[in-house]
Amino acid sequence: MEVHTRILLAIGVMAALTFFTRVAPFLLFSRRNPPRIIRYVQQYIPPMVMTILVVYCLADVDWQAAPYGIPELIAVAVVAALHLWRRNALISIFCGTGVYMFMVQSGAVHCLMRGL
Amino acid sequence: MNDPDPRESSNKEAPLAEAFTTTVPVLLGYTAIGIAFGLLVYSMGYPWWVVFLMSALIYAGAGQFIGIDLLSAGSGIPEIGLVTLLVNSRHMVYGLSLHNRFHNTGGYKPYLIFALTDETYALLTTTPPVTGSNAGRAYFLVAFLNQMYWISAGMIGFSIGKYIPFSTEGLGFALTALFVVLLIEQLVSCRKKLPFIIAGCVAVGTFLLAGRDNMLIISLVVSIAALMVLRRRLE
Repeated sequence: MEVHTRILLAIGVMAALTFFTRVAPFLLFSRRNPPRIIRYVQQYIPPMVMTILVVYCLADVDWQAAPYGIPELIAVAVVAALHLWRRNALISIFCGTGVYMFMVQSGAVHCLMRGL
Repeated sequence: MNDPDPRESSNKEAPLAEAFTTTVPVLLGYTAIGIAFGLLVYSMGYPWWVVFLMSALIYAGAGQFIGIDLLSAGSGIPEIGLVTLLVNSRHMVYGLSLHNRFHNTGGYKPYLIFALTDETYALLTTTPPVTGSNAGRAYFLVAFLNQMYWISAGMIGFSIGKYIPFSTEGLGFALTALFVVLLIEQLVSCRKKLPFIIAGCVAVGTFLLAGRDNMLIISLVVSIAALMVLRRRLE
C-alpha cells in the first residue's frame, strides 16, 4: 500500500473510532440507564486498560541484553514517584522523559554497569 | 455528582473572553503535550499534515501518541483501530454524566461530543453549568478554544523540530510516561485493586505466550472474562 494512503486510512479509522467512543453513551443510553452489567464492567475497564498499556509499552524493551531495561525501570520509577508526590501530569511526564532521554543518549547506565 | 449552583452566564461579559479565562489551565497543558507530540511526529520523519489531521480529526492525546507509535512500527490498520478503541474506552464513561448538560445545546451538540477530551470533560464538569439558550455556545467556545490550543501546539512542535539543537532519541518514552501517569490516577481513584492485579498478570502472561503484537486484544478479552467470573467479589 502506498505510504500516504496507509497514513490517511489509519488517521480516518482512528478518528472514526475515537468519535465512536465519545458518542456511544449518548446514542445507547439517551433515555434509560445502562444495564447493571455494563456499569459494572465499564467502571473497571479504564484501570485494566491502563495496566495493560503500561505492560505493552514496557514489553518493547530488550530485557536480555545490556542495559537490561534499567533506563526504562528508572524512568518509570521517576514518573511514578513524581506523580504520587505532586500529582501534576506535565511535571511527571516531562521529567521522566527527560531523565530517560539523558540515560539512553549519554549511555550513563552502560558506563555504570561496566564500572561494577 | 452534584452540580454547583447554576447561574445565568455569558450575558454580561463577552462569551469568548469568559471561555478563554476558563481554558487557561488547558492552554498551558496542551501547549506542553502538543509540542511534544509535534516533535515526536517530526522526529519520525512524517510530513506536517499528519500532525494537523490527527489533531483536527482524532483530537485525543494518548490516542494520537500511541497511534503514531503503532503507525511507525508498521502495525496493521485493524490493530491500530483496536488499540484506539481500548485507549479511548474511558470516554464512554464521560458521556454518561453529561446528558443533562448537553441536553439543550442544539446544533453545537455534535461538536461538543466530538471534542470531549479528558481536559474538556474536566472543565465542563467542574465549572458551574450555564443555563438557558446560551449554554450550547458557551460550552462550544470552551471546547473549540481547547482544540485550537492543541492543534497550534502540535504544529509549533513540528515546526521547531529541525531547530532543536539536541537529539530527540528516547522522546517516545513520553508515551510510556503518559500511561504510567494515567495508571496512577486510576490506582488512586479506584478503591479495588484486584482489577489492576488481574490485568497486570494477564498482560505479562499474554506477552510471554502470544508475543507483543497480539497481547493487547487477548489481554483485554481475558481480563474482562476474569471480571465476569469475579463479579460477586467486586460488586
